[in-house]
Amino acid sequence: MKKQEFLDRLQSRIDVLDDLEVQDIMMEYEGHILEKMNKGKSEEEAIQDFGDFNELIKDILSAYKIKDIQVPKHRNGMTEWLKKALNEIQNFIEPMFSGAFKLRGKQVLYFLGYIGLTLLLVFLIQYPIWLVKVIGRLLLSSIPFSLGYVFGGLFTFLIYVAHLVISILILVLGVQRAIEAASDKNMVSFGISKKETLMKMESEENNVSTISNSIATLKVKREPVILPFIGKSFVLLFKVFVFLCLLPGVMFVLGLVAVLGVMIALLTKGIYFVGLFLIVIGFLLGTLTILDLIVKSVYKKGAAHA
Amino acid sequence: MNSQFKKGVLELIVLQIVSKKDMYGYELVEEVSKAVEVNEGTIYPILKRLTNEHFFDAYIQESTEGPPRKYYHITVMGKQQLIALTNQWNEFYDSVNQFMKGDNG
Repeated sequence: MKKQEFLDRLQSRIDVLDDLEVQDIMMEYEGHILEKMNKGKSEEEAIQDFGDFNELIKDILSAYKIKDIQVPKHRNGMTEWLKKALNEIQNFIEPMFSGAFKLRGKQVLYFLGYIGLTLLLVFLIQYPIWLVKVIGRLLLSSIPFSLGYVFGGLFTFLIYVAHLVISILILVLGVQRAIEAASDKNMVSFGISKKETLMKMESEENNVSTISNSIATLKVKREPVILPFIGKSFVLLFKVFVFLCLLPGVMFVLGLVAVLGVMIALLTKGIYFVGLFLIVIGFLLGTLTILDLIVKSVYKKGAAHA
Repeated sequence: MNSQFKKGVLELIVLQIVSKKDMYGYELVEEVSKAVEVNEGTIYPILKRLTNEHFFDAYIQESTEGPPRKYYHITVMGKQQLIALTNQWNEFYDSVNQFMKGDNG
């Protein structure tokens, strides 16, 4: 086994531990291997001296009072296969990125995953927006006089702007997340500059003391951030979608108000349409009520639950 | 040597070594190997455990050759633990020896 392979396997097996503990353990073993190599042993020999890998994992985890929870291999051939495939992909991508960013394969995967997700979201967002555009134009075209055209044009323009803004927002947030995810586990390797290493060590020392404060020591690692990210982005998407749906409603209200204004102007000249007047006012009140309801239920959680 | 024997005694040996002088992992492994034949990988978990139980403090020091090293330093609690364990060991050793002698004689 090569050093990198050993460290990757080690990392994947002690993943239940707190990130900082994992880093610490990785550092110790990497250090040990490097010391041995300094003494003239090969990577393989140094790793062989650790003895049986599974025994080693058991020993490490037992120091944290955790039982090794390895599932027998024959039972999950699929997962094993998937892991292998992922490893292959990692090995393939790693050289391309690791030089530039000093990232491990896992982080590269995380990073690419986030980027992919972001691009997918940007791509998908066009559909709700297109829907809103069509519905909005349909509604607006029902406004009498040439006002419908004016509002229609304005609305389409607003939709385009909104689309652009949303896409950029998603891109920026996604890339930010991707970088965060990648840098999260970034500190394991030794390839960082000395100053950084020193700072890292200092913080680590603090951590050593805080960690030792809790003797039982089991701090299960927090969930991978990817799931909440999807959830959050969907909620965000939904809210944006509802907002865009509301736009034609608002336009409709504006149109009605304009019509009302025109009719009041006509009223002063002695021309009145009682029926139309009542219809416009009715529509106005109805639309406002519906808009109010939607806004309250979607954007104010408190109001919706109360 | 029986590995079950070793497991119990390793903590004592590690405490004893670090009480003499602050050491980093690899150095310590070599030192322990002088006393008992031991699998190198198993020392680190013991160091972690002793650190988590406040018997050791750890600090980082740059080294001229290779990466910075993590040194272990014995705490007051660690010294007390060493004394306690040494006493236990001596008692155990005496009583087992006594028993063996009585049995043979």
